[in-house]
Amino acid sequence: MMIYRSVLRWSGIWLMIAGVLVLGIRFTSDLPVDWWKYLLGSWLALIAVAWYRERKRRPDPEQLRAAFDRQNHAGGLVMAAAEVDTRSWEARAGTLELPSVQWHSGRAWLGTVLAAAFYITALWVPVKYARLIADPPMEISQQVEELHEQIDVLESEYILSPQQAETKREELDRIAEQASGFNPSKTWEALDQLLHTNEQLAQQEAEDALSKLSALNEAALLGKALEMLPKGLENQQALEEGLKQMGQLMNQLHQQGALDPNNLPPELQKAMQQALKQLAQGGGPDGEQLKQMLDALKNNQDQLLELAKDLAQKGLIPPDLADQFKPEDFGGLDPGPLAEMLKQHGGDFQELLEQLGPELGGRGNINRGPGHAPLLYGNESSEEGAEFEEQKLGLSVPLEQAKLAGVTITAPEVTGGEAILGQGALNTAQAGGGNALTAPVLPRHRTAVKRFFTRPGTPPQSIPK
Amino acid sequence: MSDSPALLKPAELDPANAITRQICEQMDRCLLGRESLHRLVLTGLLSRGHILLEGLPGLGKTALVRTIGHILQLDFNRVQFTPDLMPGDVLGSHILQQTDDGQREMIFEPGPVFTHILLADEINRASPKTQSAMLETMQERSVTLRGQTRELPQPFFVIASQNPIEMEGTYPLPEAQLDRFLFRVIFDSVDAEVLQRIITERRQGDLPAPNWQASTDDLTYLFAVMERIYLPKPVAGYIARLVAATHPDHPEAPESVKQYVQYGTSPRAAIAMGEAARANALLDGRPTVGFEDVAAVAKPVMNHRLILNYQARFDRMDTDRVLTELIEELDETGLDLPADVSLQNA
Repeated sequence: MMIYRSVLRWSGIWLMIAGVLVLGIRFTSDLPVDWWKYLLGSWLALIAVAWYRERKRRPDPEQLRAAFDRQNHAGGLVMAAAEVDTRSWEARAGTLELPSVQWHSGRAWLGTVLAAAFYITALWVPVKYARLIADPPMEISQQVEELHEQIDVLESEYILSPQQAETKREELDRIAEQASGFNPSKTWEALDQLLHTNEQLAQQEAEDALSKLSALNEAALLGKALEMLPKGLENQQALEEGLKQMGQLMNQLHQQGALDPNNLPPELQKAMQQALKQLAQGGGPDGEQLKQMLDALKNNQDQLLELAKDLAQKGLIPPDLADQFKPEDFGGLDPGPLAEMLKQHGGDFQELLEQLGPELGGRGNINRGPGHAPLLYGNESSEEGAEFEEQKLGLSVPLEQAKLAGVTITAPEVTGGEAILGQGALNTAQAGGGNALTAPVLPRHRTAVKRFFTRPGTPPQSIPK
Repeated sequence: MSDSPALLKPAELDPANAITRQICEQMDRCLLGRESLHRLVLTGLLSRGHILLEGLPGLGKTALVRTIGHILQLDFNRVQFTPDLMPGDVLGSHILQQTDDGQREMIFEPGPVFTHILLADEINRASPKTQSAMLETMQERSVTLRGQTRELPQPFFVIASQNPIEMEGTYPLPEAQLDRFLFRVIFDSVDAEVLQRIITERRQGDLPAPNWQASTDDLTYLFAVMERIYLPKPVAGYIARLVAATHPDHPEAPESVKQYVQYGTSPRAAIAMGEAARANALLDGRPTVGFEDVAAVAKPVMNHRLILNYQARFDRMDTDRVLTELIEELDETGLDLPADVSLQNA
């Protein structure tokens, strides 16, 4: 019976554990094909262990005899029968009954039935519900779509190469696939990281574009000023110099990559190539070429503005950076005064820009502006009118009435009527144990103390060790 | 089995059992409403143990001792213990006495301890010095004074009483001395019906004289039979496990023992329990000791030997409750059947 009892109880526990295992396996993967073999095998092993354990725990005959004695209220006679002769008392002992073992198996059966029900439930519960519990979904489709659009923009604007863009897309898809409601912070961090790298790339590109736009504006300003000069100009030399500088500027822009011939229509590309070839040989552009150059500059400016607009729309650059891209010609500058100066004086374009700064209009630039004053350092400020002035204070009490603050290990420095009281004396004190409250010098000792401090040429006392 | 010791035969045990029944009947006749207590005191005397009676004044402690003395025809002395009682007042002292030939010599004047039954009334009022003087008499049943040991008359029993409510001016008995008492018997109040009988039948508290007295031979026979009451090994094993389980660090100790007991009982308790169980079997007319005999004497044997901790005081736990739980939880047979399995008569 005890073996049967152990088997039943252990089976209940085993069913619970097996149910949990089955549930876990079904949630994570599929059950093996021959799962029932493992089940049966482990249950048989369990029965074997229960049988062995109960066999080991079998009570010895002495214990059984004691239980027999107790159940029959034999007063030790049954137990004593194993050790002494009790035949003389058999008649009084009467009929002894063999007790039976009663097992109240209700709870064990209930537990086993419940465990079996759990096991069957674990075996048949639909996995889709289980997976919902196991891995709750995380809604990030909108964020993923936005990031995809950002990558598309970066790729279309040649900020990312096709390979880099593909790598980023794969990474984004992987994040979306692994997104889990159990650990949302991990997903959010990964998305943030991707967004951050996109923004960094876009901002760097926008800053480059802004610099190029500024250079293009300057070139366009000069070109427009040259175009505004009237035909048959008296100062023909100024015009030639201006055109030459215009050619140099265009060359610089080309070399810096700000003037990209690929951004131009085919006929303009062809004209630009001829103009650039001519410029490379040292000659300035003629009127027709100047017009084509202005068209080319305008075209490139538009391209850069379009780039900034796209990046700003996808949230890749901050609004303040996007605002710096103005769709105005020449960066909001007026070419009229420059043309007038060229007409009158000719000269270096950059110098003229600096001189005409305020007249050109605009919102300022990198020069120091008109009327700037030199910054000078080194002049000391005057103390005149200062409210406080440092001054050395005299003694508040005469030396005769002073209290002992400490005993120095060296002769005190004579300051000629002035004395420095306070921490200097205490720092070198050799007595008093660091206590600031030292006993005052009594009147009868005051003369001796004073004499000690006024002895001329007294060698410093050494600290006894 | 032929080499095994011979068990008492019914013809040998029955006369002894008849004597014990007579003694109990006489005690019950003299002192009303104390049947179980009388049986317990007789058990203690048959075990040759000393008994500590604890109860309020006026419950009949002294009367009980005097009645036993009369029934057993044993000498009886009573000593009222007080703080100024000296050891010499109990044990006896040497006095200088002139002999017939004019010489002077030290003569030993025996104290009240030289008796069969000594009633030490309110023993906890005496100073520790006097209490200590009782140690040798209780354990060795002898008195040593001035290097000379004198045996006390046999049998010798100390029946001490102490008052549990008047604690002021008392000296609690040390554990070593408490351990020498076989039983601590608690005297409870009797119920109203018994009180009514006492009022009507005991004018001025006079006790009736016993109409039967045990002789010295009867007593000797009882002690001889006691020697042959058989203690089976499983019962001895149960006593040993019971005493061992009073120690908090023992694996079989129940939760109450682990929680509330500071020190468990000594091996002397196991010896006392074995003897007391034998006496209980004799009173029941059995030649062997059973588990029920152990259960009957376990509490009186152990309740004064168990030292509880402060937690027990906080939780208002006493030794009686701890021992009740211990006896209930410890399986006598050692089978340790699970809770859902039990043995039942067919």
